[in-house]
Amino acid sequence: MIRFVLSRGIRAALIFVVASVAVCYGLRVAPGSLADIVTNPLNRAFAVKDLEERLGLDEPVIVQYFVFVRNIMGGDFGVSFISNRSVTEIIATGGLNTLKLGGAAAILTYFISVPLGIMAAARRNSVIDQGSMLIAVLGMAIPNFFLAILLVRLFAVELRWLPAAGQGGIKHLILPAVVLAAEAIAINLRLVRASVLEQLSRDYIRTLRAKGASERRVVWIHAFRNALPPVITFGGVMLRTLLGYTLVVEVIFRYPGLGFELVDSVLKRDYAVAQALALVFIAGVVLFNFLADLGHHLAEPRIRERGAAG
Amino acid sequence: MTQTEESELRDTIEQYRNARLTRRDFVQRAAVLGISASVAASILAACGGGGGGGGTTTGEEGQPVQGGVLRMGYDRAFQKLDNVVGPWADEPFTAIYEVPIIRDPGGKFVSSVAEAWEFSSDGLTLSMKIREGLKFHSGAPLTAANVAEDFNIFRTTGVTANFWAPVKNVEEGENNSVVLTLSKTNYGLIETISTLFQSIHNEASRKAAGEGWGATTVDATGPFTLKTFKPASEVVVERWPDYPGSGVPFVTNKGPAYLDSIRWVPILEPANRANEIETGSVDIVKSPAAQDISRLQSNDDLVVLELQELSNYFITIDRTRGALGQPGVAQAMSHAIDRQALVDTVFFGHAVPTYGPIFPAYRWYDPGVEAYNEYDPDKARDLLKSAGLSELRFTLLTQNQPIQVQVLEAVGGMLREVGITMEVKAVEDAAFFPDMFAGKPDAFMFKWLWESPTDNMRFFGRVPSWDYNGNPPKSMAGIDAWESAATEEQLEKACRQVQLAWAEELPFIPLVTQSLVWVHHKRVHNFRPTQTSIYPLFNDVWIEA
Amino acid sequence: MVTPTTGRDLATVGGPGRGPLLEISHLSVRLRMRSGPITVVDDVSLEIGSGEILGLVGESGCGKSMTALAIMRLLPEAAEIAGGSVLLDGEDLVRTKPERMRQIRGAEVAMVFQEPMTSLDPAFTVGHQVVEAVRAHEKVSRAVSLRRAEESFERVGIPKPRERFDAYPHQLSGGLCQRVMLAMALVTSPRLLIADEPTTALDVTIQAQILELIKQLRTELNLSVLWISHDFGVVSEIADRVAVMYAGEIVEIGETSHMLGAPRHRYTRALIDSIPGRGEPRSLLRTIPGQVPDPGARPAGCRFSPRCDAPVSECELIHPELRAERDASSFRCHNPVA
Repeated sequence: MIRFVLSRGIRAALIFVVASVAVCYGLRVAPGSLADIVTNPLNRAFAVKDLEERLGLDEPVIVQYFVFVRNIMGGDFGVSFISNRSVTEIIATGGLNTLKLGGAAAILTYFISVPLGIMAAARRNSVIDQGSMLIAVLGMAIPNFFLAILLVRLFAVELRWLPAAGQGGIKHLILPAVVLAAEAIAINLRLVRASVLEQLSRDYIRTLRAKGASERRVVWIHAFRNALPPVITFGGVMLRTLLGYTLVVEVIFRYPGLGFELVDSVLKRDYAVAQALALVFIAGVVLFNFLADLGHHLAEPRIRERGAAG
Repeated sequence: MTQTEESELRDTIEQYRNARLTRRDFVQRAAVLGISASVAASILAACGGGGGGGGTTTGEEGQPVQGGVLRMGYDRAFQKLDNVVGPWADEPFTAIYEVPIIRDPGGKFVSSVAEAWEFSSDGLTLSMKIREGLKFHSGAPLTAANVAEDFNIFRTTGVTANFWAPVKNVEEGENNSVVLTLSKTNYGLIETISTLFQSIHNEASRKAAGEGWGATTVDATGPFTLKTFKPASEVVVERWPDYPGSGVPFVTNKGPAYLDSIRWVPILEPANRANEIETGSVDIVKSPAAQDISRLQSNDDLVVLELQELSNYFITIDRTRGALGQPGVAQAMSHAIDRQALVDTVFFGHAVPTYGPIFPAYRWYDPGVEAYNEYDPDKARDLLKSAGLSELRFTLLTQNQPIQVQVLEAVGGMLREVGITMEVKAVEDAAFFPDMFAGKPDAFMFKWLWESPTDNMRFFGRVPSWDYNGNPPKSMAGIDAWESAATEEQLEKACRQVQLAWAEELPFIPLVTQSLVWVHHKRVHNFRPTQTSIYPLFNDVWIEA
Repeated sequence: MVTPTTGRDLATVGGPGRGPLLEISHLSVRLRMRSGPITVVDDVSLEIGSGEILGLVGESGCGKSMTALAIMRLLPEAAEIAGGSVLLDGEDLVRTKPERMRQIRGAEVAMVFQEPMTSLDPAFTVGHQVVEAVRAHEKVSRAVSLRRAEESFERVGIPKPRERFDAYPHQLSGGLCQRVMLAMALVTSPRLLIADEPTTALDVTIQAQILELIKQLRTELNLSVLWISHDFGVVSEIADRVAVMYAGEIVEIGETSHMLGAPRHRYTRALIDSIPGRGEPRSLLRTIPGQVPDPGARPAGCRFSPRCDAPVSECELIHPELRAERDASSFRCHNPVA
């Protein structure tokens, strides 16, 4: 177990170093710079040069990179050029919001897809099964920005049940969370169903039935428990995907999370914010991959065994 | 116009005011009376909205109530609220800053921070009397010395420094006045001085704030103070209780603002702006998507105000580049473009065709431009033929925004009809600006948006350079006339001269001016955007509890 | 109740004045196929007396397991009971309600399967699984069910039961897993145990131990057993009586020792001949040529006729009836072994 954590830790650190170079370099070689965005066209000729000197943007990228690394090592993520807020503060407030949204989406995903997937598997070809497969097909086929338009139109504009955008209480979370979770629900639904179905054809299920275990126990405890490893492994992938989709969903719903801030800062070439947020996203991806591995590791007794032995 | 027609017009306006006519009906009846859509639009604007599904006109009725938060949905990503070198003057500017001189709804220059101004008889000295008893948010008094200091900053490092070029010296004069000394006559300086980038601020505070100016700190004279600046999520201003009152004659509230605070949120997705005003998560939005406007007009809770934006979409082609520089090519392109079709299809009617560089609602608009650039594909083909071109192909650079791309798709189709192939390359802003200013593309499209249309031509004539734009002699002469005008009459004359020269020589090819549409909830009162300013003032605005 | 000692007694009924423990009459099982239903168990009738071990023998695909699963009402989705009855102590399992059937499973009729490794849930400890069997039928405390599980482990010869409780199936050998399966099947003291090829996957030594254990348990618990195998050799070591199945039907039934000595059906003889180390000494094991016909394409006459070493003319045309002999055995053959 310790070796497992250690090896993944080293790998994560390496990915991180490579990512920091890629982010820093990528942002600066992208056409246009902060100066092109934050100077008025009317006095551009004068202002761009002045600004670049002031912010050190005229230095070679490699120098800028080492300045960036040195600052990060010292715990200084810098200050947004646009808002003059500290990047640490932006990450903290945005992060909390994204965590809420992502958490809501993840909860929604599992609370819908797991029971429905199990029921669909247990009653194959029933109305429940066909209904849930329809949800799965729609969830995967409808792009999330389009789903957002449909849901906002229906639940916000027509029915007035939910707000169309913005941040506030639980009500503000519902639509973005549903849109964020839609694809994950669809994929998980199929995954849970397929995995449970596969387990239901296993020999041990027959044994359970032969010893008089109730159908509920057979399906919801034994088949589901054994169906878990792929679901857990996919959980990491799913969280990673959710994180990526926040970039779209937060912008559509004007939800002030990290995705919103990242898109905003990249478009404005607000380097300090964009760099730090990109690294936070990469950290998220690395973390979720690690959690997926760990979950898989713990969910499967045989793998756990091997890990302990090896 | 005959007497009967005049009385008919009065009836029509009356009916509209009493909301018995919809906006569409009004414009149709006006057209029967021979009134152009643009004039009808300005009449409507003067009437103050209304005309939406039997609602009342905007609430002049009732006593203003103090208090409340006004929630504004803004259509852009916020930049620093920096009046000196900011890249953009965002909506909160008119809440926290005040300009020295302001345009009234009719376009006349009237007082604000400056209560009076006068050119010397030789036109080489401009004296401005600053209102007494003014102070900054920080409590520091505002005197002519502060204004002179600001002007010196504006003319050396400010956004509009180029337009200040004729000013040799600025200093504090007697009696709380500022004296500007010019190297040549330049009445147009007033135009520049009344733009948002000459908003008055406390330079001492700006120095102290450093990079935080416009973000963590604004120390100015507007009725509201900056509270929160989180550009990605919200900008909040609060009533300044010590505000000494506005010097603007068309502002009725002479004391502190009514609203407790104004909260702006950026709503970048056009479809969402309509959704959010409809669902009530904001009280006012600017620029909903064109296709949503009729839906909003039929909503009884909302008031839709439509003005012509102080802007113009245009295409510039590189005249130094072979075929594009042949005489008549720009004119051929212009004749090939069916601007009314652009208005109808891309903007759902919420725009006006522009045949010259200035939008029709401008007070000095010269309708003479319309004759130069009428839609005439046969003429376009003839012009291309006389230029010896059987085909023409070029790549145009644009900002990657849906409306830009849609306009260009339509224009591309029209150009194809006469044998011109235009490939469009849409890129994000950060990539667009460096290339545009370096003159890299064969052609580019841009939308100028500025309070002084002629200053705008002075600027875009040189973007990327006069050479790129073909060094058009008449247009350049017109700009010279503007830059040396000594009186308002000369300025107007120069303005008309520039417009006609521009329409003829086409240093850039005008396309359309989009409507500036404001939608506000009925509980918002005294929200009165004018045709002559980019943003309304918030002094008089109040909101029902 | 008399503990049966000889096959002779068992061939009739369990005890005086009582019917057999399990009485299968005219049981048919159909598979629903796209091309139409296919009968995989065809009019099977069997009886198992109290404390009796009945062997059910046949090659794979002849319907043995389907018969067993039909008794348990655990047929796969595509299969259904098409007719007949299965009386357990007079109660017809074919018609009983699902919840009652669940109570019967495990508590009255238990079953062990061929692959002990895959027949246990890999995600739970074996202790948990045995306890679960107890608690599926009795509302007893965890402590009580643990003690019962422990006793059951001991009974089937698992040393240090408590230490094994926390093991996962993959940590145990195949033999030990099968003992766990047995312990799990017997922990609720069922009256009938259905053992579907329980030793096939195990090596010979373990197999012998398991057989010994079953015999011993039958004696100790007066357990009835339906022992299913493709291997006549194994069956002959354990069963009091043997039923031979071929192509979905019973082709011969009778006392084990009797049948071993004098099989009547030629398929039975062929099976007996294929027992290693039996029959005429031969270096090579004798196998039956050909294979069990596909249920959808059975011959019209005797189903074994295409593979038979002594077919007569009627064999191809007339489907032979099950003929009862005086010694309570019966067979289905036009040209029986003399």
